[in-house]
Amino acid sequence: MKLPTAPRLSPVWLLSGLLAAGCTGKIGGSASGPSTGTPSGGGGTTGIASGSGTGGAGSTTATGAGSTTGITGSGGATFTGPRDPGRVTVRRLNRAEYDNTVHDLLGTAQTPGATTFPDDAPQLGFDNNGDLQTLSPEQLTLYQTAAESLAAEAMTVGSAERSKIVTCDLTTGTACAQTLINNFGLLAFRRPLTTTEVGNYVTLMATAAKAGATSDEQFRTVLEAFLQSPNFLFRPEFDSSVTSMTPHLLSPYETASRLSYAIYRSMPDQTLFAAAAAGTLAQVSDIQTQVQRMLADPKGVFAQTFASQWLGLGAVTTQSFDSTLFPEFNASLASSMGGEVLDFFNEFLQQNEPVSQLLTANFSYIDKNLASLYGISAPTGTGLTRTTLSNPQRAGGLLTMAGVLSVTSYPVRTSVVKRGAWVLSQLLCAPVPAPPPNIPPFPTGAITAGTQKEILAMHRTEPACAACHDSMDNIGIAMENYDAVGAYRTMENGIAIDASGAFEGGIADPSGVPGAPFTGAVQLAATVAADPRFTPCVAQNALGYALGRTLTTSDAPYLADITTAPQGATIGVRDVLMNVVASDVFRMRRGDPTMATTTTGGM
Amino acid sequence: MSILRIRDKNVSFDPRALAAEQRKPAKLLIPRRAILRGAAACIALPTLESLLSRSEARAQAVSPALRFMCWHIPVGVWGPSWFPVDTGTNYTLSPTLTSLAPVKSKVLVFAGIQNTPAVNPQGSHGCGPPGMTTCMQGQKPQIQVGISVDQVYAQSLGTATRIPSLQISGTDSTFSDVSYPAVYNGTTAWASATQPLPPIANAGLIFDQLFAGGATTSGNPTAIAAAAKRLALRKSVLDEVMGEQAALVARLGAIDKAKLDEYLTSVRASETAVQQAMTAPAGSNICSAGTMTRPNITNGPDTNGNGKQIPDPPTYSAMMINLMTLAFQCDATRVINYQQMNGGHSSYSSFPWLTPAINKDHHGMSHHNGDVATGLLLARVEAWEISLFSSFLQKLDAIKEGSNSILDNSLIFLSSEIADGNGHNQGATSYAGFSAPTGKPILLAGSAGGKISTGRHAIYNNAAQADLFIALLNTLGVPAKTFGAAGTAPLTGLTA
Repeated sequence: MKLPTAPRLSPVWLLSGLLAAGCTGKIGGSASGPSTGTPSGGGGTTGIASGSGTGGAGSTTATGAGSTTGITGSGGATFTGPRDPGRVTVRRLNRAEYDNTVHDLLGTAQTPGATTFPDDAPQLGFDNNGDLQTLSPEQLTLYQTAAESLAAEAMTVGSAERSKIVTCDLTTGTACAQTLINNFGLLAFRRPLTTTEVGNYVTLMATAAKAGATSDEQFRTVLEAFLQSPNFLFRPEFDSSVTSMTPHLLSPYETASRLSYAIYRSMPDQTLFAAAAAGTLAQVSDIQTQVQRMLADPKGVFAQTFASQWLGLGAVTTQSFDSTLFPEFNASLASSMGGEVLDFFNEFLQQNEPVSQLLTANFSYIDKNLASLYGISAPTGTGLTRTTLSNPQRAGGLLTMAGVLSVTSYPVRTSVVKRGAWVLSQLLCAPVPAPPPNIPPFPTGAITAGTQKEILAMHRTEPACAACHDSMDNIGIAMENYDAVGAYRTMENGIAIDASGAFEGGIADPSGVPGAPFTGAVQLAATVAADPRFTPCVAQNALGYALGRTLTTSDAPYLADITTAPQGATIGVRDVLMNVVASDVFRMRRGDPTMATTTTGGM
Repeated sequence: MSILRIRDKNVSFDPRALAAEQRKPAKLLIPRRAILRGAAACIALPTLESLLSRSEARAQAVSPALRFMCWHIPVGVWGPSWFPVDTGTNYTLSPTLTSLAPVKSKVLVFAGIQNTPAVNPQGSHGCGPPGMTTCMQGQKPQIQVGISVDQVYAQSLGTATRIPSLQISGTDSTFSDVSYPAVYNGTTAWASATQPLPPIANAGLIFDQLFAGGATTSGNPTAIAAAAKRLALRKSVLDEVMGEQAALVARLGAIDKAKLDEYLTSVRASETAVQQAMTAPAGSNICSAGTMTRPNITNGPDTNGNGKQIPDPPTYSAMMINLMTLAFQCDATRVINYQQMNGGHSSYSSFPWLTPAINKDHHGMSHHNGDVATGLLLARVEAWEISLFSSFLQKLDAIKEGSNSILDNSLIFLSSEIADGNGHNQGATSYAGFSAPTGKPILLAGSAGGKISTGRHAIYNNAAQADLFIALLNTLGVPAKTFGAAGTAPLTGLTA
């Protein structure tokens, strides 16, 4: 499948994620984040070379924030309390969700989000995390402009949009208006309106009439209000008592919205609305049936959206490479690189293939661009085609895909540190803390003498650096046979590449018992696939994305369930998603004593 | 002045000025134009618009409106081409600054200034842009930095203009640097420590903001009636959604309520704009676009398909310069934040419009590693950026307000989120073979009505950029005493 064009995919999702305090291996110093020491549904990395160099100051190991140790029980404290599904801060539709929603709501082809809204501040974590969203006055003006344009279009006489919304004669009076307000309001607010709400909209029409609006213009004003309402722009979820810690099921409509925004990145469809109205979204089996259906629907974009953000692929189409050193890189190749990863992951989701094989599969989705880059024979036809890979250099699944290899590089060369940090953070949920301050800058630019392994040796001789770099570098070095755009090479600057590495250092190897070393990315991939942290890390990211919040230690027991396959089989990617939506943590929430409000109203 | 309303740790005010502000009687919020209109009626003169140009009328009725602007250029500069080697009023414009010649007498070139509070070895491009205007470190993961200098001035003006401030950028691409929220990289305007004002990168939308939907209505009764109806309907919508917000927050906990309060603040700002538009005389509050038509450049991939920069930056920049000039001219706003580009990876990916073209990305080049050839490429890019700046200053200088030009009545601060791209530092940088003083690249254009002595190259000794901001705010009539993490006293040596 091609990389979907906006709005279904949020293309610019750039992220690097380093948590907390200095290079001591301790996680959890984010003093004023929503919860300290929390793992988050990590986001991906990108071509972010914030700082100079090969790995000195600022060489950001651009990584999503994975989990802390302890969530999955490997190496940290085990959670022993009663189960607590937590609460989710109210989310506002991000701009991709906004465009998808107005498309589904109105049938419009306009994409105000993609064309006029500023980039959603992509945060540590996924782009649907309400804790880290802000709303500026400018954004409201943009919502207003979009609402007025969309409403005008929807009311265009003779249009298909109008015929779906205006199903009675507005000139006949209040009864027709109330019907339309109820019908449209249910879809816009993603729940039935109260009588008071309907009454307010009828009054709005009367106010518009006094300003000289015709009956058409009055209803157009109603549509404008719906599209700027906080009930449309936000996805509120309610607790009967905001301060009570007692978990309760979400309402049917809240459940429907969680499902649709996780899988469709948009509002619920008719079947979900019907199920919510009938109360048939309470049982786990009901929910899983819906999800099976939604994954088969063309609107189902969970695989693409989740994989892109988890792996940091959003940067693949915005990154650039030095055109002298990498003349083969262009927009078409970038698109193929992204598409390969997303189609690959989508197959795993649809066919429920084992999570571990994400790093060991013998097939991928290849087109002429990638075939040329990988040195394999091109499939016939255009577009990405499922291809069995006979080239042993590409047997590392995601880890030997050009998309991943390029977003973890700099424009002029590879980055051992970025790749190592990315593997630790995104695949093992063992993120590396930020570098200590006042590191003298390293030289940057294309390395002209020695290999990276040689140049980075100082990382591992300086004790303050070795604490983290032992872990990162010994992973990234193993990937050095793949250049900055993912092509295979055996030499760097005229010197043969030595791609031998191992899990070393307290982050990669918390047990302190050395594991088997590996040479090359394919052996590295097999090692990660077999690591007990990998599958739980995938599950953790999936849960963080589905929930739209940062995970905490309270989520550990749920994660243990989510990582368990039915009947003890090897868990597949689809199993993970099914377990997520079945979990209490997805279907329930609670208040919090700190949520007491002292005043009503705004500032 | 409404400095009483500014509550941000980033700035503090002269306590005597605060006390004086509190003693003033409550002001009636009558739009200035209504006063002018009333005055004209009382003395039975034709409306001022027909006698004088709007800006002349304003100049006569009130003391000159002072404008403030922050202009951001990305990824620092190549010092040896930027910093002049001689000092004082007879200095020679450096190679990068050559295009400022027509307005040289109105520009102050600084050296020896640092912005140490913005130092961040890892997140310089991420934290740098807000650091440039707030002189604070951005936090993470929560979004928190400080109120920016331009917003201190904007908020002190209250509702004096229809648009409190304009935020414009050459791209809507941002990125997250070592997990700093990506909103930092793209936003230099901060209404408070936690309220970013992300810029608009769409010239058409800026056009709409300035010209109230694109149509000028003066003299056209049908258009005037339509505009009035549009405003009334808009107001009714805003009233409705405010009511919904109140009903919603009554059922929500504190954190959710805070999110919805941000929404309410934004809706209220929108309502204020509508109220102002509704109470002003028909047609008088709408700036005239003149012969400029609504621009049609939208965001999208650039010509190389490698990034999200606006297609054809020279045309786009020229368009924005026209819009900003008009904005100041018709007093739609007195505060503009212009980000020529965002910092770091969000800057230009290539420069096909230069002759010869440069096909390297801006951020990559900025890590020059001391290489002079790369530095000279950077200098060519920077010279182009300064030529745009110069064209803007010349446009402002050509518009008279009484005996001054708009440029004279402005203070325009230009700088970058870092001093030098190689080391991401915020102060003096040494370059082999170049011995003149460096520091953060800072230009100040305009004199706030003659209060600043321009037309020279001023070299300071490791002075704090925050102190410069205190001096600028004081010049604009805002009695700031401290600013940012390092500003303790107004920078001296600025006045004639």
